Amino acid sequence: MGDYEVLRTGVLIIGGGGAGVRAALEADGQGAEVCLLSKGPVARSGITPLAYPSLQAAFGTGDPRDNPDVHYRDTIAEGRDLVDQNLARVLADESIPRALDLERFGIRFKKQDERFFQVQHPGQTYPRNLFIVGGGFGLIHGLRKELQRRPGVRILEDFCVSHLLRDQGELMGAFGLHMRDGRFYAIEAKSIVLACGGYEELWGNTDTPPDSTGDGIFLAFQSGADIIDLEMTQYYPTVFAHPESIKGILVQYETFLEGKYLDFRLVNREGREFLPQGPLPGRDTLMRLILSEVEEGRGSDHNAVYIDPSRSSKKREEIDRLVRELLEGPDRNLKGFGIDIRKDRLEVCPAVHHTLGGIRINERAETSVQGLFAAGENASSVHGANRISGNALSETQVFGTRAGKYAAQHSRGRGYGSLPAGEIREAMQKWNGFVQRKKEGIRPLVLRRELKAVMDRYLGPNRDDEGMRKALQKVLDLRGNGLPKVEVSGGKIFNLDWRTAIEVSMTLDLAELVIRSALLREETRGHHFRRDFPETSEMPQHTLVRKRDGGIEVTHSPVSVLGP
Amino acid sequence: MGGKSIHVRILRFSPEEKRGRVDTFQVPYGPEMTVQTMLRYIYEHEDSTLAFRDYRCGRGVCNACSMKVNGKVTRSCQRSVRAGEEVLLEPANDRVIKDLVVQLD
Repeated sequence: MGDYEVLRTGVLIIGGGGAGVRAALEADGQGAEVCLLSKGPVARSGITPLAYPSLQAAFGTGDPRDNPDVHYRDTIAEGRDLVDQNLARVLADESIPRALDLERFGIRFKKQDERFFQVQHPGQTYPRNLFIVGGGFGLIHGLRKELQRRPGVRILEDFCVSHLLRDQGELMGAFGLHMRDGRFYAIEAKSIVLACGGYEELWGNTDTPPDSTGDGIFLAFQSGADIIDLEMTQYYPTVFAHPESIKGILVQYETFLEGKYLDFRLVNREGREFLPQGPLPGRDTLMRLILSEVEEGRGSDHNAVYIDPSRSSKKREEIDRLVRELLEGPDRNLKGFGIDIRKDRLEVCPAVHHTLGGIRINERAETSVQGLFAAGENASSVHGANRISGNALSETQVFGTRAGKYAAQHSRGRGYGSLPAGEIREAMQKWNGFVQRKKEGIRPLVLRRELKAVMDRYLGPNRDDEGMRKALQKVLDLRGNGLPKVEVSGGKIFNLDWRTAIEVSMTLDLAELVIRSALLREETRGHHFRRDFPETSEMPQHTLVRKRDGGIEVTHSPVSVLGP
Repeated sequence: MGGKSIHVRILRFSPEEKRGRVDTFQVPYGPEMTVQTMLRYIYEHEDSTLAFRDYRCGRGVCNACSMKVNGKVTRSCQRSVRAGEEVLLEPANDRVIKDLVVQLD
């Protein structure tokens, strides 16, 4: 066992996506000393680069009747009464100035007559989505460029954080593995911002990149923070189910199926349309409609349905124009995979897309642990039980900024704690244990695969008590009997299996929390569908998990309503 | 899987030993295989120590998976392979961390 490096900073940001980079910019602007850790290269890892171009902000250029009050009300209504109203208020009010910040950083939005071009997606009373040129990659690429103009911000990429460190109960830093030199680091900090994304990769059926393992939520739980609504996994209704080469890439149904846009139709294997008349439903409702077709035997051979262009009311030229206008290059051109999205039927099914549960925060992005802040998909309760298109990127900017600002303020005038030597030794022992030879060693990939299979089977869109208890048993078994057998070979520098082993260790703990939360919610709401409890309770409540006396406390907690 | 396998040579670099070498793999051809999915196959089934960027935007936008394929810098997720093809993979630039993983611009 070797020793470890020690670094020091004022504000430590964990996560290099939209929320993390925005937090870093803000904390830097506040004059704090900032260090940002990212599990991969910034703008080339995490979920933000894969985001679609939508960012909600109620400028009212698409329709003059729109304003932040309507944005607020839409967010609450579509969140199925599980939204923290104070957070939704902040989101609706501040997405406008934050979008203007982005323009100042050099990120481009589509314009019409020099005004923001806005489109309307299901759940929005009026057109409210701005269109980011280059989509999520355009956003994070621009943020990264702005970050490079701030020489004071220290960036460590390919850094996997595995522990938050405490000194006599007080948060004092973070610990993890730097893949680039294969060494462990303890980083002392006065405030910490968690902004490293959702936990979609607990499932196999997902449209997210492989690094979306929810590390920040695990870290917050370990340090005693309140974690809420982990059972709320948002499905995107239409993700390619076939062919294999593009499986997991989403098809933006809001553009393809909306009558005023492409007006393609959703059909089952018999070629019949099955959506009810009226406006296009939100994601939770649409997901259920698609699953019903599949469950009742009218799905495709890959348990999917089809987006059918042949019945669109739009003429060919208009479709060409709309495709150019509303879809980004890579998403309108799948010819390399033998697909013409304007002519071919697309085989699609629901997949895990966004995780709504996470760390409980207040309007200042503070968690329940002093000095610990959270933003973006690490945080919870901005969207409740169902999220509207465009609110995810707004959330990264609004709460990323707030987290950076209040973390910087918190760090002022504070000193450093002492490094908890025992805790660090224990952590190193645990991770070094993976590289030691075992009698019957297994690769971490095996555990990852098995966890995904369990979550897909029992924690998918149809859940019940019996199945979820089986899942819990299996997860505890993987952790108790599988994890000690994990063996990693090769050197320590950029060892993918080693990183996977650390990730798997964290995701097995996180999966237990997800399952316990889902068991507690004995009702159906938004994206949480209980076969054994199909009704929606009249008293919406959060599920809450936290670490207490070394164990897991699982309980309910009321939903915050708008303060005076 | 079926058809002729792909003959892959990979320029490896071990930072611990500060040494390079070329390794050869025979990968069974699968339909719609790209250089990226082929590397994933090698990592999962042949050599757990192979280092490459396993991040997947899958749409050719992020550039994380760039490497030299037969001498030309290419996004590996967008480069399909043919049955029986011979492929030489090298890091995209000189700032190599390990194997095909480099420091990106």
